[in-house]
Amino acid sequence: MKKVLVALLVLATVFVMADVVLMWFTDGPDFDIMQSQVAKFEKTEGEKVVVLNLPYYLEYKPKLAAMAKAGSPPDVARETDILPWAEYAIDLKPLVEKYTGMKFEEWLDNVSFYKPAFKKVYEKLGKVVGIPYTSDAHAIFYNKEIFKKAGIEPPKDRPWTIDEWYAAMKKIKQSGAARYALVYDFSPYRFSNLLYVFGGGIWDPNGKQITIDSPESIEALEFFVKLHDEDLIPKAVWLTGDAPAKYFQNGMAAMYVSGIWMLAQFREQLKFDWGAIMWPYKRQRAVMTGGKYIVPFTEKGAKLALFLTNQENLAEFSGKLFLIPDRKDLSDKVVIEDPVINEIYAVVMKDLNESGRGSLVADWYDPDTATIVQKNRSVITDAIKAAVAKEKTPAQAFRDLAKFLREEAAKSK
Amino acid sequence: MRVCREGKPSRFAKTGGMPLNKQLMAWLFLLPNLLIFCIFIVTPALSSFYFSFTDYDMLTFSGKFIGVTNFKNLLQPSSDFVRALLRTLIYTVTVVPLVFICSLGLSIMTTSDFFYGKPFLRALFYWPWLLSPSIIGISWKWFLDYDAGLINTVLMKLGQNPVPWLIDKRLAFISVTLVTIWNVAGYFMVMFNAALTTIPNEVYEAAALDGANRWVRFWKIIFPLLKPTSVLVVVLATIMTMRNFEIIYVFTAGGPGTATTMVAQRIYHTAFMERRLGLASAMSVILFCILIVLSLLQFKILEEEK
Repeated sequence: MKKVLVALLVLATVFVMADVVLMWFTDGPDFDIMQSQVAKFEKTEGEKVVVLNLPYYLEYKPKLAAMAKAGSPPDVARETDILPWAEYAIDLKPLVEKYTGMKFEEWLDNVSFYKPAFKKVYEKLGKVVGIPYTSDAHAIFYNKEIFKKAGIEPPKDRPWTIDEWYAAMKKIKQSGAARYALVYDFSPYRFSNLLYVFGGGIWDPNGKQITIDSPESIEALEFFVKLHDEDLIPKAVWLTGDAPAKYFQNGMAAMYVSGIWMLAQFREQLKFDWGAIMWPYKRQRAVMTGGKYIVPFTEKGAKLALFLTNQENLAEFSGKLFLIPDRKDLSDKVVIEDPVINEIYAVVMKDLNESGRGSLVADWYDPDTATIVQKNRSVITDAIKAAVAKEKTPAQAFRDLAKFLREEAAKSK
Repeated sequence: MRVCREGKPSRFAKTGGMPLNKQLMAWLFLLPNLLIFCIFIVTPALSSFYFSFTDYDMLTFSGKFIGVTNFKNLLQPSSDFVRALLRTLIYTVTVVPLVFICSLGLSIMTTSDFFYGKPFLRALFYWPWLLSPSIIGISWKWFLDYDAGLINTVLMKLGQNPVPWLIDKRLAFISVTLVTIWNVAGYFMVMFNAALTTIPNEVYEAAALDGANRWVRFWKIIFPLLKPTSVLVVVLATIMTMRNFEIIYVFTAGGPGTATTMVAQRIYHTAFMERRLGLASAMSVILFCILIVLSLLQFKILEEEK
């Protein structure tokens, strides 16, 4: 009780003292860069900014939702989604020209370049909710030393097929070069990439029907379960919530399915030779993109958000963290000096340019369909977990999930 | 009723012997805590009763009244909640007798004349109870982790295969059970210690004179005299076990799959991961009813003892 009171008092003091409150979650070594840019804003605008830095998982979203619902959101918040804030966020459309000097349509095209779903949301809602900040892509990192020990050389100009990838994993395991061939992030979002390369999806790409129980989707889950059964993937990640990155960092797993947001951290931590491979495919090539937004709730917040996403600041932020800046006019202005990161960045960008996105937009961004998926993330995770834990067969797990999601979709209509 | 000499009722009569201004003062002193208690305990508790009849959703922070639908859905034989409830019952039925036996055993050990360093042993056995549940969960995970745990690392150094302590469903359940016992046995040991030290020495001496050996003395004298404490220990251990959440959540995250997902975690998962507060509130109400029945049972048994 005392803790709650103290927290409320602190929050109240923060809101009273600050001109602008920025709610932030740290994702890699980004806090110092953001702080220096905020300090620059304070100096040029003469406004006091207070940063509420909170852990993202479990606490961040519910807190922001509670604040928004209570009518006292921060002025601006860093977020991974924009849909939940559509009702509460300030409409940026009338403010864009005032603070950026760009025509609205020009600005919208510029910032939607890597996040086409952003424009789609604007067209459906008639309101600009948030600003695309940085984009990232799913990536498969690999330990070059383990690959060398196992006698495997991944192709440089094309991705592996799923069968070739599986054969490489078996070879790593059998050679004893590493205890595990692969470690896979514990996230339904990350799992979706596997669904897409098998030709499946939660929704079909047009968002017309749920396809998580299609033969392609079930085949993807069967493959995932097989990798666990054959000890090619550590079971503890998906079964008991162990941290996946440690397996790759400690050299226990030869490959790691994650994303380019890990680059800055890995550059500091990895003590071995490493790189990235393109996403293997079964029926179609697909690489998922995601990223962060900055969502202003007040005009003061919009001013800060547009400052953080101006050319100079976004180029600095993306360049130092090796992320893709959400501005088309910055696509050739981000300079990465580290040769290892440059090589990985080139592989990921090539993969991104050559691949489709599967049902990415329908599953995770389209306001008409993604709400069902976003709302039921943990139900989707539970279905995958149930199959890995052998509580259900892959077919049964996805059929039950499809039934549930269809009921949810019907209810939402 | 107190009366004054003239036969009129005293001004203290209606206030239980305390002047009204003093009573008011007492209430004023109680008020801050009472307010906090009402705002942060009573109000949320009452709201959860209300929410249990709604489909309140924490993503949109809205919901409508749906009657007993939540309860109907939850009590379907194939529902995840019923499975978690059954799992919790099995866990409770396993943990409580073992906790009882272990804590009584530790208590006898730390009060007996046959052991040296009893104060040290008492502190050692009580120490796990003082640790934060999260620390317990993390520490045991470090010991039992399949790939990087201390025990498996030693086993592998000795040329043995690692044991899937937390990955195999049965072993995970056993691990959770043992860690729970390790955590709470010391707490109940203290209760038994208090009860054992109140048994007069004369009783033991009289039994010894009558030729009763240690075994007979334990079963015929000590155990019956410990009955009120035993009942308390069983009821408290049952309530504690049924509400257990933190250790299991950190230790196994309820896995593998749902093998160690108990009711409390199911409620947390439904409320804060699935954000279905209405459904989670209905689960809480059911758990509350079960716990209230157990508590009433405790009071009834203790009353009969008196």
